[in-house]
Amino acid sequence: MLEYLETIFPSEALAILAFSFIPLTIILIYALFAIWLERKVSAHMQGRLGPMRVGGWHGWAQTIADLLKMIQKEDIVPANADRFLFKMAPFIAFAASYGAFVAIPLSSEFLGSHFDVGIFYIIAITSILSLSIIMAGWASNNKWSLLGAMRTAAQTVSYEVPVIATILSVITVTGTLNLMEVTELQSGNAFLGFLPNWMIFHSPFMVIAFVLFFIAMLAEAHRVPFDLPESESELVGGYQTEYSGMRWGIFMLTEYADMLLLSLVAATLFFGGWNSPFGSFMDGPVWGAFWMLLKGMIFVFIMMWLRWTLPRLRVDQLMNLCWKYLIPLSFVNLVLIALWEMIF
Amino acid sequence: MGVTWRHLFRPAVTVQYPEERDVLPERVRMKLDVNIDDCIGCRLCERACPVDCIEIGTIKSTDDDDLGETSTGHKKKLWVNQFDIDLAKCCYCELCVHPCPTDCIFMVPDYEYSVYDRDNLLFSFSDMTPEQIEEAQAKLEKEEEEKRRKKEEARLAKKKKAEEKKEGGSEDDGGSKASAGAGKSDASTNADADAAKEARRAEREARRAARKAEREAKKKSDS
Repeated sequence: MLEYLETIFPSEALAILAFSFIPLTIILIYALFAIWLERKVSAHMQGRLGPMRVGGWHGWAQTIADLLKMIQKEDIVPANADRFLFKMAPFIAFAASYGAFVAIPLSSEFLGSHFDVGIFYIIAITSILSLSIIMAGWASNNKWSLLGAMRTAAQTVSYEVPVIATILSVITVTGTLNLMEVTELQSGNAFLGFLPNWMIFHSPFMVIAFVLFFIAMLAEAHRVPFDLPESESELVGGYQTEYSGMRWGIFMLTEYADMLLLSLVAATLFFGGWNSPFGSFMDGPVWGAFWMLLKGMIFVFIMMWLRWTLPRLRVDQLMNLCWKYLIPLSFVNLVLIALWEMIF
Repeated sequence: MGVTWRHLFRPAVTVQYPEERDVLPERVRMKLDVNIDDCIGCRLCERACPVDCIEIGTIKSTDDDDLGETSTGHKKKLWVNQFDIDLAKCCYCELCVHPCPTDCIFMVPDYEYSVYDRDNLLFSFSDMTPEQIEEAQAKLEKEEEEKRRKKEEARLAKKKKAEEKKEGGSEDDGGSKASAGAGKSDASTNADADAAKEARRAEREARRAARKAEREAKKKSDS
């Protein structure tokens, strides 16, 4: 991909710039679409219609209109806030989300950087997200923001443990941290004759690993039933209480980018990434991007679906679930998968 | 999740209001309307209204005017110069609709009449112009004057006849009263009432004086 761009653009720097903007474009278009989809899905699940007017067909331009509105809004910084950190926090949050896309193979021809520590890098850089959340909460100089930020940070840090443990169980099977190699290992439809060679079909323990990963992923992305940081029906807005206008919008964008990121990681680790489910049929770089994004969007949709199905957990239940159930289970599962690998 | 999944494909209950509307029930009560051509000015609706939101003004029609009949066959005898319904007060009870003998006041299924000022909810249904009202009023007054004059003349003629018979029996008080034009009330009964009043006043005065004397006497005896 990069080589191809270098032939189009006059200079290498421009090519790299364009190359790095591809995921950003995808994220932005996806965010516009996902926010609209979220509203439509929630509306139809509740017997409503959702946005219907802007743009003509089923209100497709509603998010664009909202975005334009947010850009025009006043950028309010509280008088006693730490101005610099307050203003920086949303951008650092988004940068953390966006930075992680470097290691995601969007297609067989597109990987931001071919480094060997791919998934480890993703785990590391998404941790900056909790840092930026604390930054936002603390710099707001508002006790509720700070409490919300603390809760968010506690949640994110706690749920990182089962996420890492389940990722580790995949890594024990693949033996590589590079997500491109992980995906390539899942090519082909040899399994049971017709099933694709995806990790999820590797062993029954892998299914458990995926379920654990998905639950922890919901908490990482602050989605229902783990959306305590925002819990828009109860709190003012947690760490983003003092944010308004486009800065708040960037937090929103980060949330959706995070959803997509974790969905893509789940798709790569368990569902064959850019591999077609039909073997060599509909396979190739462009189809690869299609399958990858489709798989990601299915997970995003399931997250939305869950949002209107499940009630929110209490903060103590949240911690109980993580430390008493998810972490022990994920470690036991890791050991079982390791044993399975040794035996078969 | 199954429930939410099923609901995802269930048709939405939303009605996209200005474009589509719900079908209204047959007997909706949304706005009062009046067919003023059929109104006979009987004021039954005004009386039935529990919140007094209907105000009707009528002028008697003169004998030479024929207001015609309503579509239900009632003879119209009154000009309806005012028929105001204050829908801001109206409680949509429909109690005014049923008493109407000519079915000229009724509910219509129109619910889009919001206004920016409460005063604009005062709906006037009378189709008479101020000039017409004035004309009807003047005509009526003229006719009443005419009638009164005729009646007076008749009475005077009668009295004269009686006087001629009695040959100057009682004092002539009624004539002056009649010339002052004290309405339709009979002058002679008026005089009688005055006399009775006078008598009562005298009685009261006497009683008061008697009480005063009594008190004074008591005071004296006390001291």
